[in-house]
Amino acid sequence: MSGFSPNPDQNFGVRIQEALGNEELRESFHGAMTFLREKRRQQFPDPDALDALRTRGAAIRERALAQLPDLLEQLEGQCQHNGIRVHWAEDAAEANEIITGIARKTGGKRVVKGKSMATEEIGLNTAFENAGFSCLESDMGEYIVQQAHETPSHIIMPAIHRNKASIARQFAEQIPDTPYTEDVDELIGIGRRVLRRAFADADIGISGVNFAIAETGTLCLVENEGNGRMSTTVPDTHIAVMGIEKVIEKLSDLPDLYRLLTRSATGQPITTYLNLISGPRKPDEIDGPRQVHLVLLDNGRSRIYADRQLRETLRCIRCGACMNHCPVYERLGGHAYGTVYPGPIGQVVMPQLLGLDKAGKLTQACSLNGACGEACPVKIPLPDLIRRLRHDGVSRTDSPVRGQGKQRKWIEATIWATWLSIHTHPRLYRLSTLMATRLRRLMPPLPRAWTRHRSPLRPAARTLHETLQQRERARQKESAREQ
Amino acid sequence: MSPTIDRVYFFGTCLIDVFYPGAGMAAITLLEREGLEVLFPQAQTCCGQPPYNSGYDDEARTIARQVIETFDLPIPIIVPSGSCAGMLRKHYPALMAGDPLEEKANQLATRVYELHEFLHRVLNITLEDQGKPTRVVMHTSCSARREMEVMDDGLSLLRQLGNVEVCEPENAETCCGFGGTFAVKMSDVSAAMVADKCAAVNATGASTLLSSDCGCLMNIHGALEHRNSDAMPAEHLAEFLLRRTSGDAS
Amino acid sequence: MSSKNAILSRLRHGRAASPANTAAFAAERASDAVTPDLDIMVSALEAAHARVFRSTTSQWADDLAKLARERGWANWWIGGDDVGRTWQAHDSEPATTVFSNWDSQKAPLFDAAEVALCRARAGIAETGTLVVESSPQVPRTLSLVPPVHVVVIDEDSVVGSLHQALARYENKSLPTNLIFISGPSKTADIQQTLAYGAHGPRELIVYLCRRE
Repeated sequence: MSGFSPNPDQNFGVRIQEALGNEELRESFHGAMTFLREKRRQQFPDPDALDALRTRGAAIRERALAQLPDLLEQLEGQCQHNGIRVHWAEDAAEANEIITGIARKTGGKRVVKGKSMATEEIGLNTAFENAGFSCLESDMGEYIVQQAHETPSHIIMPAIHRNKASIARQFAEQIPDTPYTEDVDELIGIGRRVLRRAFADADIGISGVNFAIAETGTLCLVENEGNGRMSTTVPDTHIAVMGIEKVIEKLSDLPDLYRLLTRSATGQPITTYLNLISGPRKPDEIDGPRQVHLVLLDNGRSRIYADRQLRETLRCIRCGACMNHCPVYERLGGHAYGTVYPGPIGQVVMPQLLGLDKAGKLTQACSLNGACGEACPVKIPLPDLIRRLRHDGVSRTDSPVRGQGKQRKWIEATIWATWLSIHTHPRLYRLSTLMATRLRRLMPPLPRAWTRHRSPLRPAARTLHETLQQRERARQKESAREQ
Repeated sequence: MSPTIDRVYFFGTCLIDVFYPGAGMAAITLLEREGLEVLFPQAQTCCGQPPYNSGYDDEARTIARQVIETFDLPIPIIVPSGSCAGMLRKHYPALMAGDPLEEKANQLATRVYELHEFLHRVLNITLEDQGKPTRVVMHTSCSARREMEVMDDGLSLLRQLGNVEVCEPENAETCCGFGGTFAVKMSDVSAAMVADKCAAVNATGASTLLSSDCGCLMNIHGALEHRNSDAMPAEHLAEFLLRRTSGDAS
Repeated sequence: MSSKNAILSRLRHGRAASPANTAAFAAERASDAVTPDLDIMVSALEAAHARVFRSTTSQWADDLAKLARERGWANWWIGGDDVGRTWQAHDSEPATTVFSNWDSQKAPLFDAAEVALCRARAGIAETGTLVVESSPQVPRTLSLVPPVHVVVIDEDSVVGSLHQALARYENKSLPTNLIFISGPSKTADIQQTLAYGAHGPRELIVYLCRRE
C-alpha cells in the first residue's frame, strides 16, 4: 500500500474538488470531527489547567529536543543494556532495508503490524511485499483500510472516512464465510477472529513507538485495542520503528505527555493500554519476543532540527488534535492532502519532508484561523510554521527546506510588487482608492473566485481617508470663520 | 497605559477605508464621544497582512516600517479589526526582528488595541440602548478570538444594550472561511466553509449580522446575499453600537 | 560514515548553529501527589466498562467462586503468582491450566482459554488503572489473550496518579513488560461506535481487596 504521493502538490486541486463534491465523505468527517472535538472539550473543563498542562508538555518536548543527540545515544545504550538491538536509518530506503533484512534472517514470512505512522511514512508495507513477505495491518481501522487498498485518512482513526455500511459490504465480500452485517459489535468480532489467527501465526511483529525513554531504554506504546500488545508480544521477533524526535529524557516525563496525548487525540482520560517495553523475553520468562529491534529513523528530521523555528515541528506527539480542529481538514478529509500526515501538522511536516517544490502548495489550504495551534497539546505554533513555509516557498533567501522559492509565481510576485508600490506611496494609494470609489459602479466584479460564491464587492462612495479629510477641511473653515 | 489618555491614533484598515468607511466613522465617533481626540494620519494605508500571510515578508516589512514611522507618537493605536490589530501587536515584533526598527516595532505593539478591547477594558464605557427590541447574531473573528483574545470585550459591550438579544451561531469558534487571500486562492474550500457559517447564522433567526472584523463581514454577508437578495443586513459592531446609543436609533 | 554518526553529527551541528531557547522549557512540573481515592478508582474502572467487586484479601477467592459458578467458566488460565496458587487450591476446585510453556501452550491459549487470572502489582485511583508486571510467574499474554481477564488487587497498593505509580520504578530496572490496563480492550474505529473486545479481553473483572 503505497498510495501516498511523492508529489502531493500535483492534482491537489483535483483532489480538493473531488472531496468537496463527495457529500457522504463530508458528512462522515463533519460527524467525526464534531464528536472528537466535543469529547476533547469535556476532558479539559478548566482552561487554566489545560494551559498549564500544555505548557508543561511543550517544556518536556523542548527539553528533550535540546538534548536530542545525547538522548539518542543514551537511549541506544540503555536499550542495548536491556537486550534491545538498535539500528539507525538515514531515510526510508535504509529503514526498509534494515527491517526486511532483520525479517529475512528470522526465516519467517508472516508479519503483523500495529498502527504506526513512521512505517506509513517509509512505505514499509510495500517494501515487505516486494521482499516476499505478507504484512497484515492489525489495528481495526488500518486493517479495514489495507483490505480496501486505501490509505489512512486520519493519523489516529485511519478509517474515519468510511461508514459502517461500506465496511459491512467490504467484509462480506472479502472475508470468506462472512454474512453482511452493519452491527458494529459483530463487525469488530469478525475482524477479531481474522486477526487473532494472524497474531497466533505471525513470525514478526512491527510496531511504532509513542515515546522512547532514554533514561531506562523503554519503548512506550499507547493503544485501546490490544493489537499493539499482540504484535509486540506474540511473534518471536518484534521490530519497533520510531522517528528520532520521539525520545524523551526520563520516566517522569511520561505522565504529562500521556495524559495530553489521550485527551487530545480521542478525548479519553486514559487509553485501555499503556505498554512499556524494556526488553525481550528473559531466559526465565515464559513468553514475549525472543528478539526486539529498534529502528531509529531520521528521514529529514535532523535537517529540520537545524532551524530553530522549524525545530518546533519535532515536538509533535502525533495526537491528531490539529486536524480534528481544522475547518479545512473537516471539509476535505485526509485523502485530499495525498500525504501520510494530513491536516495542519501534515501541511508543516510534508513540505519539510518532500520539499516545497513537491508539497509547498499544501500550505495554501489554510485560512490561518489558529484553531490548530490552540488545540496542539505541546503548543506547536502551527499557523506560524505554515506561514513560514509559505515564505520559504516564495522567497529566495536561505532555508533548510528543499525546493525553496519554487512556489514563486511571477504573476503573484508582480501583484505584490504593484500592491507594495501603491501602499508605500500614500498619495498613490489615495488616488487609487479614490478611483475605486468614483468608478465603483463601473468596476468589473472581480475576482471571479470571490463572486462565484458571494455578491460582488462594491467600494463605498467615499473612502474613510476622504471623509476625514473633508471633515478636517470643514472644521478648519469653521474655525477660520469664527476668528 | 496612563489613566489620562486624551489622544489616540486611529488605524482605519484598508478594508474599512474602501468598503466600510461608515464603520470607521462610527468607531471614531464612539471614541470622540468619550472625550478623546482622534488622530487619523492620512499617510496610513494597510498593515501589510495580505503579503505577510502569503509569505511575502519583504513587502510586509516595507509596509511595517511605514506604519511604525507614521504612528510614532507614544499614544494608543486603536484598530477596528482583530486581524489588523493582531498583525500590529503579534506579528510586527517577529517580522521586524533584526531590523533597525525592531525596538520601535516592539514598542508599537504595546500601544495597539482592538477597538472594543479599548472601549471596554481601558475606557470602560457604559452604553444606554435607545433602540427597539431586536435580535442580532455576533460573529467573532478568529483573530479577535484567538490572537487578540478580545472576544469578551465585543460581547460585553453588546450585552449592555438592554433591548438587544445577542446570539452566536452554532460552532461560533469555527472560521468563516475568509482568511484574506485564502478566500481567493482556495475559493472552493472557502465557499464550503462560508456556506456552513451562513446556515448557522440564518438558523439563529436574528435580524442583523454583526462582526468587528470587516473581512468576515464581507465574506459572510457576501455569501448570504449571493444566496438570497433578501438576506439579513450586516454591520460592523461599532456602527451598531453607535446607532443604538445615539438619538437616531431605529 | 555510518548512518548513526551522520545523523548525530547533523544534530550536533544543527544544535550548535541554532541553540535551543532555554526559556521555552523553564516550566517546572507541578507536584502530582494525589491522595488515592478508592471510590474514584471504582468509578473510573466502571466508566471504562470494567466490573469491580470490593472484597478482602481472604474473601476474594470465595467471591470469585460464586461468580465462576454463575458464569459457568470451566477453563481457567493462571500464572505462578500468589493469586493463581490461591485460586488453584480453592475449595471450589476450579479447572485451571498453569501457563508455563509458550511453545506447547500457545495454541490452547488462543483457542481454548476462557478466563485468565492474575494479580495487579499496583493501581492508579485517578484513572482506574491496573499495573501488571511481566515476570516468570506472570506471562505477558496472560492478561491479553483470554477473552475474560480477572484481576486481584490490594487496596493498599493503589496510588493516586500515574506519576506516583512510575516513581516506584525510579532507580531500579523496569520489568521487560510493564502494562497499565484501564478497562477491557476496545475500539471506535468503525464510525466512532465503541465496541469492546477488539483484540484483547472483552471483559475486565476486578477484585479490589482490603487487607485482612
